[in-house]
Amino acid sequence: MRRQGDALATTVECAEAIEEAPPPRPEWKRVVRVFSRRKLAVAGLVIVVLMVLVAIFAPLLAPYDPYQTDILTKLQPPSSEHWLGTDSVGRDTLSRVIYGTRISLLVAVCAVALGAFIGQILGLLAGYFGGWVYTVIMRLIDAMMAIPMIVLALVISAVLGGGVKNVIIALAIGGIPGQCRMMCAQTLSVKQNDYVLAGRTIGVSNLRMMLRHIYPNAFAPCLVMMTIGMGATILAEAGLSFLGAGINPPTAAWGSMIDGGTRYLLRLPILSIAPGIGIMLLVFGFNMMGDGLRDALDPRMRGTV
Amino acid sequence: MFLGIIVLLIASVLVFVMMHVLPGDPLLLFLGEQYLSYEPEQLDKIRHEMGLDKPVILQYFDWVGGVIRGDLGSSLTYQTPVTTMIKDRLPVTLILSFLALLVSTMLGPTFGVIAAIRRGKWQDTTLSVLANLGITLPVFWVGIVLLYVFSLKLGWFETLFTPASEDFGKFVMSLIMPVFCLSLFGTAAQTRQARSAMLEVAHQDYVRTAWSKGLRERVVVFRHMLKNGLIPVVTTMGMQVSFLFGGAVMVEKVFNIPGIGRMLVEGVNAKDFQVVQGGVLLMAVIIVITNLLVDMAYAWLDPRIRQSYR
Repeated sequence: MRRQGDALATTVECAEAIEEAPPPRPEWKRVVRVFSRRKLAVAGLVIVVLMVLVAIFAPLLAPYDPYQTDILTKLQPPSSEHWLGTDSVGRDTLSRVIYGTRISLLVAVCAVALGAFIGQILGLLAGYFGGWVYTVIMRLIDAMMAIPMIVLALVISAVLGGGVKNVIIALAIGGIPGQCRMMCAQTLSVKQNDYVLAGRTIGVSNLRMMLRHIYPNAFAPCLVMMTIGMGATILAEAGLSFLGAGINPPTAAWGSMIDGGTRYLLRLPILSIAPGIGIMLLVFGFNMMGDGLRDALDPRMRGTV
Repeated sequence: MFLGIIVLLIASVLVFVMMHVLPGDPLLLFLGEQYLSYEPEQLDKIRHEMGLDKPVILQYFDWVGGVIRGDLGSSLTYQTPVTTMIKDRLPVTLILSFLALLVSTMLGPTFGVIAAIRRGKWQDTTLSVLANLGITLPVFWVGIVLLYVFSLKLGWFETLFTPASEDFGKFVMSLIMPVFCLSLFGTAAQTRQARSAMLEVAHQDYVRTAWSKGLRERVVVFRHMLKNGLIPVVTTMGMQVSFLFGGAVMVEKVFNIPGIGRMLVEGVNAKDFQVVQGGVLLMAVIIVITNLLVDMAYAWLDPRIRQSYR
């Protein structure tokens, strides 16, 4: 009797000790800590946040209307009135560069989100079901990857016609293969876990298994890929617009502004150079943020600071 | 090999579907504003001549049948066979891409290794900053800045491209800036990759063993670290070719080089779908073949993979 009482007391002590112990540190706090120690990653985040603010408050920041043409002040060099000069129809370059942030961010966010959505669903299905589903989806993805992303997007946006919506569709399709492959690889590895087997034993449905148990655990590397994909998409959008198959003037898009400036390169190089710096800053921000996120979310770094 | 052919077949369907099933009458694309001035009977006749009245599946088999026989159809705008256009334009694109690949494969890993073995020193900081810049710069923008500085301001290079048949010396000179531009992204990406791969290898037990045996730095780096550290660099080579062709499209526009990339852009702008189909398929073939070669090289480089194939 006494022995039993001892055992009971020990159990109670253990339980109390467990309750008193500090709760395990939440995962996201560790991620934030690792991320904030990476100077470049923080710099990237700051740049991205600033650029988002510029995009939101473009009407307040831009000194002129970016679509206001004025033949009398065309092709002006930088001056106190027009800090970056004016283009061939007299529009203020600085205002157009500021408004260009909106287009770049809008296209990149929508295209990456759409491409990730479709790509991740395909990858999840391929990885989870395997067999012929895997073969069909992955061979299709292989075929898409055999065509350079910018060429694929070029052809699609040429067939659909330019414009913001069609460029988003074209770039989203270009982003599908990467997301699909990453999600598929992650699903294949997460599927090996005991909790998936346990779930299957108690009869969890396929849909619930995929969405509740596999997807959340396979998502982190896809998020890193999406962040770095933002940079690549911004570059691709600028490239498409530069080639004349993307967002065309008068809309203030950085790529088409660079192209428009090439005709006056000797006289006013700033027309082509200024939008390029905008692209560079934004892409740099997303890339550095992605690097930082990758370090912070890397499973091998778990438990480290 | 077999897999490569299947991938190419799917790619050909993709390319074809993109050009044909999407809304819009191809004749409207072809004739442009003249479309309205034609009588419906005339339009039907043109459609019949071009084989556009057949079901799409038959059109696809016609096209693929032609491709197998080496006939990619004729350009709608130039009225010349697409194969002839490709024959004229492929060499310069291949030379450009090959040189860019050569430059980035030689410089990238070298920079990466230097940065890794001098980690935290000024060499590492400089190279890392440059590499991070290199992957953010838009290729076409770099081209324009180079043109402005070196051609228009300093006058070191001509702005116009000279074909090899005209003047070989000038041809080589006119390739310098495009090759630099095209290799920039690859060099930067490979530097980053080689650096992180080398840093990862540096923590391995066998590297510590090599150091503790008292081997010289050169031997440890070259014989022990490099061999394993460079495996990921080789695997991404296939991806690189895809990037190079994408970049060539833009570099050829900036520097006015008559290659496959510019042919594609012109084809896209003129809605010349035979040219676009042919050009895209050609790129896909080259990329798939490169990937096959990379897979083979990979197995040859890494004995572990060779074992797993057996």
